[in-house]
Amino acid sequence: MFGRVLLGEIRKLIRKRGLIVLGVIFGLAILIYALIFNEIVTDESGLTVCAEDFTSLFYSLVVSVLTIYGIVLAAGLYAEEYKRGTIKFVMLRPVSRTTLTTAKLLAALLYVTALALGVTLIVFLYGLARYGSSGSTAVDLVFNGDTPYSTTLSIKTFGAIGLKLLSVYAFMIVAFAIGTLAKNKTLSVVLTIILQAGIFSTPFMLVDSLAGTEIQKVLFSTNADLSGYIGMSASVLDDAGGIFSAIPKGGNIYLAVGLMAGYLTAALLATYLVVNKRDVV
Amino acid sequence: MAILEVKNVTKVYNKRGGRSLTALNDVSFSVDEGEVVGFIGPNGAGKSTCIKCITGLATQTSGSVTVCGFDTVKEHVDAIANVGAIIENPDTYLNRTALDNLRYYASISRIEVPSGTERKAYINDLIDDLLRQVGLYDRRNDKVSKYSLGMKQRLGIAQAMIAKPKLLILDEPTNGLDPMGIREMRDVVRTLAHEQGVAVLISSHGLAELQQTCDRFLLIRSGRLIADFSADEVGEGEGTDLVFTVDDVQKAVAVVEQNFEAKAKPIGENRVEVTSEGNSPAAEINEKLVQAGVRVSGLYEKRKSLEDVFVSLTEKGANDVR
Ligand SMILES: Nc1ncnc2c1ncn2[C@@H]1O[C@H](COP(=O)(O)OP(=O)(O)O)[C@@H](O)[C@H]1O
Ligand SMILES: [Mg+2]
Repeated sequence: MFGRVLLGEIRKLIRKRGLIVLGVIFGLAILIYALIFNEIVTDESGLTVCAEDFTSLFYSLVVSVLTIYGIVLAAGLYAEEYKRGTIKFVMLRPVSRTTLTTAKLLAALLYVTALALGVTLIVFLYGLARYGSSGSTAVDLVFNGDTPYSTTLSIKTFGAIGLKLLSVYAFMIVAFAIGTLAKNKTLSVVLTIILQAGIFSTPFMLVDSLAGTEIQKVLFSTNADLSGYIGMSASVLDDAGGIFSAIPKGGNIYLAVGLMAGYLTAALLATYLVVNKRDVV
Repeated sequence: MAILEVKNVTKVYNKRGGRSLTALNDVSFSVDEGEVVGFIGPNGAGKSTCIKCITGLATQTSGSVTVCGFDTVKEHVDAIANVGAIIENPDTYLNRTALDNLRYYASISRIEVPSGTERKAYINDLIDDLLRQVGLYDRRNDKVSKYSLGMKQRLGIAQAMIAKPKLLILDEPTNGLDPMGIREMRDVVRTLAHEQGVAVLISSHGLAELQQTCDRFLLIRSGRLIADFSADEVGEGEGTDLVFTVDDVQKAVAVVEQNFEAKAKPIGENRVEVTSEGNSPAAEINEKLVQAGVRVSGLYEKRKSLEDVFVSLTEKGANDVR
């Protein structure tokens, strides 16, 4: 039965009109990007003309679009059904609310994964055909800010893509929780995007002023993307400001993983509990 | 056998500002196999709340509900597997077709497929039959957003019947239906109940259409069940109906028709129903029957139309404080 519930939820997502918009955005992005990639690769950029760098740069650009799409999707999973009343006929089926909640979330995560991997694959194959692979090139990275290690460009590229996808999941789970608890999609989208915008966004001065402080290391937005902690990307402002450091002040990968697990577990627990107990009115 | 048993159900809503509202107050009743029960009461009486508790959409504050022996709280999935329902508005997915909607509901319902039959084909046939039964077959490929309220209501009824439930619950199903639609719904419901043994609970604040549909009525007001009576106790409308319990039905009929401007109709072995324009003189009829040597062992006045019963009962309860 779980499989059929899951399939039903996936079908609901596929019918969303937003998918067409997203498809157009991604299509155009790939097209433009393919034309200008050569110009971006300069000596200072640290990039080389190869399928791996072609893919990772593109992915780092579209991941924000994907994150917002994922947030919008997850925020409405229950909120829209409550608002439109369609939840009633669903909850009249012999399906437990726990099963339904799991199916909804899993459907959205699978769906976003398929989109992300689909786009990545297209871009990678195009890059491969046009520039060839440098995947076996050795690269030196730093784990947890203090332990150097060596790996290949392939692993770095796809590892970072995987970890960024995990960060998309994290924001989706939060959006799902807020949207479901508040039965309000818009509120959830706004709150989660503020949360997601994190420390780099100037509009959110409060969060901005936390950059370089000890508080930064416990923030959701700092830890959602773990790739910095294993040296796969640099994404956190240093004390001095402006200089990139992979890891926030006082932070480390174990704290980050523990915090994220805690935040997400809390969000999920609250969601399951409230959905199970709440009257449908 | 009782398909649905509601025992001492109380539902308290906590409203904003710490106020609470007792929407259901110690309600108990049951519905048997093959029985069509009308659940009637004015707006805000607690009909929908009761139905939400039965279907598990809401959880009662105290009391218990069982469907086919399954507790709707502790064994929700097994209980609800035997229920088909529409509750308040028939909200299906507007951006999908009726066919698509029903396929979705079927996919997550417990539908028994006869052995040797392919599930998909069986369900497709089942859905086509349902669409024909509710008169939407020709419009099955239209998006529900293009449907009228009455059509949505029919789709809701099809949705409710999809898993061949043992208990069918329809909350104000006649909303948006035209008289023709109401009659068709009545036929569908009566066929299901009387031929397939489905227990049916239909709520309504309008009574006229239920009078000919139901075998029994439950009256609810301000969260309390105030009456539970069979359709036999409700007359056809105008005038008064008297029912005499006698030892010789044939003789009683003859005596009444000879002496009064009234119609006498035997019911069963030992009862005679007397209908007259205006008031039937109960005392005089009784006297004549006795004079003619008919033993009268019982006499009761039949309720008039359901509407009258409803009005008189709800007025009686008008001073109830919630
Ligand atoms: N979710 C709710 N929260 C608070 N009060 C409610 C809620 N749902 C219904 N009520 C109240 O409970 C009472 C019964 O409502 P309802 O069961 O919808 O009546 P009916 O279906 O008979 O018209 C009404 O006074 C209504 O305002
Ligand atoms: Mg109602």
